[in-house]
Amino acid sequence: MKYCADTWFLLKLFNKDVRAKDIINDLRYGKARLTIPCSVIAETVRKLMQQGASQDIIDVFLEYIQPSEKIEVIEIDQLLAVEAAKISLTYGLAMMDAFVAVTCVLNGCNTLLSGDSDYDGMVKRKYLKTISW
Amino acid sequence: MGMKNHTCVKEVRLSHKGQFTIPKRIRDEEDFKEDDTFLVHHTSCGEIILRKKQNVIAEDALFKAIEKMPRFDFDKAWKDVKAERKRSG
Repeated sequence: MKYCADTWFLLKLFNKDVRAKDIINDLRYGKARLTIPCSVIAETVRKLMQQGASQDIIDVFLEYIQPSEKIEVIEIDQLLAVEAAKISLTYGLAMMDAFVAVTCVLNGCNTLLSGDSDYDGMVKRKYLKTISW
Repeated sequence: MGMKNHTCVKEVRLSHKGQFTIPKRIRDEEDFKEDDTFLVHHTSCGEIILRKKQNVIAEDALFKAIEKMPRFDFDKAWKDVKAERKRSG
């Protein structure tokens, strides 16, 4: 399974959510892979700092997501930017939502880990799949 | 690993390839094995400190860090993120 993480998932993880931890364990022991859009990292770090995360916690997180065999951090390039603009207009999404959705699809991820109902239209039209709980 | 109750100074010679041998007594005391990895710290005052790299599994380190994270209201945090996304268009 190749997942793409939305900020929703990373916040769940840092709130000690059991299912989010299970997915990380699936990366460790199983064949799962995780793609994280760069914009999601920015949003997550900002929010964690607002919620009182220490620098140590942030540092461990940033070290963990170092690109590896199992984790891929995707930056915004021109192709992704243009596709995100189109998707944003087509589905009436905020640009940040569109960047996450397009990162998921263009990188061949099976599933977006997000509980964001704004993706419902894309799910209905089978542009992408989401998992939430 | 506990703190040793003595310090020790040994002379070593650098080879033409830039290698030197850690004296056996130190290797034994510190339980250094073949293929261990070390971090070489070069301080601003010119000291070189060798530290054995711990083989911490990344996921374990992450879970430990998560345990230290203060509990927060996930629903509110996510709602804030969504509002910020909508504001930025």
